[in-house]
Order: sequence, then C-alpha cells, then structure tokens
Amino acid sequence: MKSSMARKAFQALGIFLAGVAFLTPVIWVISLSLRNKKTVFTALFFTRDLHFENYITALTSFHMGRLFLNSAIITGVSVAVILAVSSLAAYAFCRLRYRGSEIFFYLILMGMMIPPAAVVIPLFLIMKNLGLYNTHLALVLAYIAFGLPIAVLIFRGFFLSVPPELIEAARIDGSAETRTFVSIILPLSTPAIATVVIFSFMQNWNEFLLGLVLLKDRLLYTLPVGMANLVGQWDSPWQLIAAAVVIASLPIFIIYLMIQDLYVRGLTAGALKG
Amino acid sequence: MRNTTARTGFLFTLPAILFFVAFILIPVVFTFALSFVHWKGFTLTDMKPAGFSNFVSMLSDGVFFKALTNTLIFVAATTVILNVLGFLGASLIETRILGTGFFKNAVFLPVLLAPIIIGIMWSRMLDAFGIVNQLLKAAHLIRMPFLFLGDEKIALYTVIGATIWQYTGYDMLLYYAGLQGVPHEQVEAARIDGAGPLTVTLRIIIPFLSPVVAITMLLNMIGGFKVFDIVYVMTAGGPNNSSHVFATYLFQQAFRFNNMGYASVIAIVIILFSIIAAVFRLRIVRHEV
Repeated sequence: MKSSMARKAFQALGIFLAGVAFLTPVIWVISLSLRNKKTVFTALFFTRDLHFENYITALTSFHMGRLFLNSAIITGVSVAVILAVSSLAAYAFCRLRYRGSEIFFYLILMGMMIPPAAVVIPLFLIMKNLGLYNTHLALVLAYIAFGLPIAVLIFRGFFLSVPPELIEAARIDGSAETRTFVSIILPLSTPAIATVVIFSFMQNWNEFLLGLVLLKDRLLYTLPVGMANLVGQWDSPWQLIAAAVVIASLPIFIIYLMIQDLYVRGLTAGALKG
Repeated sequence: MRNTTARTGFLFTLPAILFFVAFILIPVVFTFALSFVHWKGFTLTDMKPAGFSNFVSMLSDGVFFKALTNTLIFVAATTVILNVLGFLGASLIETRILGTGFFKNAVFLPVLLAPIIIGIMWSRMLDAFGIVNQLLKAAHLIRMPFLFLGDEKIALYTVIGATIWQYTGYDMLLYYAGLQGVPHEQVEAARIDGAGPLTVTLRIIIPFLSPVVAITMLLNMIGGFKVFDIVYVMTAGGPNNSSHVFATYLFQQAFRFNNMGYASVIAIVIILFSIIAAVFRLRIVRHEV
C-alpha cells in the first residue's frame, strides 16, 4: 500500500516535471525579459536582480498599445462580420434553398482550400487599385473572405440539427424569415456562435502574411507584424523584445484560462468540421 | 410563397457570395493571368506579355526546386512526428494520473501563441548567446557556438523542430478527443484475455482511431503546405536560400525582387497542391463524419 502511494507520487512528479520541461522556452523568455542589457547575453536563467521596468519600457518604446488596438479593431470587426454573414448564408443554404444555392455553397467551400499565400499578389493589386492599400479595411475585407468558408460550414452543420418543425411553426405564425432567423434560430445557436468566434478570432489575431503585405505604416501594424518588425537588427534590445513577447502573449493566455473548455472545443471542432 | 422564400434565401447568401467572388475567386483568376506577364508590381501599364517564359524559367530555377523539396520535407516531418507525439501525449493524459491536467495545459500553451512569437523565441534561444549554446558549451560538447539557423544543412530542421514544439498540443487534443470514444468493453475483454497494453493499443485503439488519424494527418499536411510565418521570422528562407518553402519563396520573388509574374507561377503550384489536399479532405470528411 505504502509503496504504491510512493509510486503514484513519483509518477505525478515525473509528469509534472515533463510539463515544466516542455515549457522551458517560455520560462527562459520570461527570464530574458527580466534581465538588463548586459546579462541578457550572459546569464543562463533568472538573474539576481529582476528588471520589471523592462515591461514599461517595452510597452512605451514599441508602441505596443497601438499594436494591440490595431489588432483588436481588425480582429473584432472581421469576426463580427464573419459571424453575421456566415450565419445568414448557412441558414439559407439549409432552410431557404433556391435554384443554384448548392453551387454557391460548394463555391464558398472551395475558398477553404485556397491559402492566402496563393492569392496575396492579386489581393495586393486589388487593394492598391481600390485605394485600400495600407488601411485596416483592406485587412478586414481579406480576413472576412478567408474566414467565411469554415464559419459557413460550422453554422450549416449546426442548423441542420435544428428541428424543422420549429421553423415551420414560426412560419405558420406568419413570422417573416428574417424575424424567424433573428428571434428563434440565433438564440438557439450559441454553441455554434462560440465555435465560430473562437476559431476566427485565433485565425485573425495571429495572421501575419496579409498584414505584412497590405500594411506599410508602422502605426497601422497588427501585433504579429509589429513583433516581427522588432527583430532582425544585430544589436536588438533583447530584454525589451522578450518583455514584448510576454506582453503580446498574455491576453490570449488569460482568455484561454477563463474559457478553457469552450476554447479547446472551438479550436478542435472548427478544425474537424472542415 | 415559394418565390419569396427563394428570394430571401438568395439575399441571405448574397453577402457571403460577394466576399468570396471579390477577394478569393477574382484573385485566383488574376493569379493565372499574372503568370503570363512580366510585371514589377508598380503600375498596371508596366505589364509586359511573357507567354510561357515564367513557367520555363521555373524549370531551371534551382531555388524553386529547393523550396519544393523543403516544403515536402517540412510537411512529411511535421505530420509524422506531430501525430506520434500527439498520440503519445493523449494516451498519457487519458490515464488521468495526478499531474496530467497540468501536463495537458503546458503542452497546449504554445498552440495559443502566434507562430511569429514562437519564431522570435526560438531564434533567440538557439542563437550564439542563447541558452542552448550556453548549455552545450558548459557541457564541453562544443567550443564555438553552433549556428542552428546559420547552417545551410540544419536551418530547415531547426524550423521544423520549433513548429513541432508549437503544435504537439494541438494534435494531442485531437487524439484525446478521439480516445474518449474508444469502446471500454472491448479493451477490458482483451485485457481479461491476457492482452498486454501494447497489443491493446495496436489491435484495438489505433484501428478505432483511424478516422482521427486521417483527419489529424490531413490537417497537419494542409498547415504544412501553407507554412510561412515561422520560416519567414526564423530564417527568411536563408542562409543562401537553403530553407525556403513555397510561401517564403513566393513572398521573396513578389515583394523583395518584384517579379510578380514569376511569383504567380509559384502561387499556381500552391493552388494545385491545395486542390489535391482539398479533394482528400472532402473524401475523408464525407466518409467519417
């Protein structure tokens, strides 16, 4: 009995240490962010004096507030539009079919297989000619287009599971399609809405290539583009960059801790449905 | 009645159709058109017809074939290793031993971060002053710092390593979700018949998981074919073009060298690979879900 307890404790300790070992890069970056500009190249891990002021310096000298705001606006607007446009379309693809709607559905699904890299050149050209190059609107439009296919698929799968009698009942009551959709279907759809929000949020918040190509002005950069822009110089202030790395990662980590299960379901369900 | 339903239906789908046409369909068509011109990307009047010359130059472009083999190596290595590690990790957390809850979150954490962030972290960690070289030196394994990203033979594999570190948690959770459906009665019955854990895994669990394996591998492959961010930030395709993948080479040709026409040919190759992946994806999803 005693020995099995000891074995369990050892097992637990081993698993815990494996987890910590896996996170070594993260812990190391945190140690980097708390060093001074000399020890940043010499120390192994945490130094005796911890320079928390690096975080203030990083926030101000890298315009991180601005980067956060840009990313929040772009991601927020595109996720909201994706939600509205994809739920409407998916509802029609399930319940308001018309001649040709199948073809449009499969066309939009095709969008899922086109990676942004494959069309980044024409997008650059189109945005330039629309006068949208170097604006947030250019990114928002592109993010919506690339976010729609999977969102439509997730919503469609969900709407197919809503009993048709419910919709018929509303129709008999004389409720217009738009009202049926807004007052009956949408309130039922919170699981699908959560999945779509989390999936498209992750996709757009971390997106890099389109931001890199469609934005020129440093003050318009999104968080990933701004972060990539920090490195590259040989004498980069690494204690500050490391602090910026931690600051940039913190919000997503906090959101994850708050809605862990929902988050995991959103990411995995979103992927599997596709 | 029917007509109004159809009209409402069409109006409901119209915004989605417009977004798709304007920012995906037209750009795809444009890509094909651009592959037949020489164009620096500044003003539209600069375009010069090129016939098939962009396609012909590709055939003799060593860097393109390097990017092609690198992309295939990247896809194969990340897919295989991620699936093995993901399955092992999922089997561990499925035991629900004390500590596995923390382990699960620890391994999943990097999935949440932007690939750019992962790239920045790992580049610094592996550079001449990073912890890896410090430890290797302390252990007297090396005298001069080892340049993980500066060696033409190694750079790609370093990026592959960082990518695997980032996404192991993702595959692990997909497998973990799959393991929840394994029929316990069968496993118990086999155990009573004297089957060891290895036999149970090989004979019952893995066959049962085969749809999960198919989907997970496919997701890893699709992700691998379009990889850009982490390669761009860690090596930008270097040193000496040795670590280019499709997307970084396209970016370099289009936005560093201003060869929009030639870059469009690379884009077409990416589209072809994506279509093949999509066909497989549709087949698998149709069959299993």
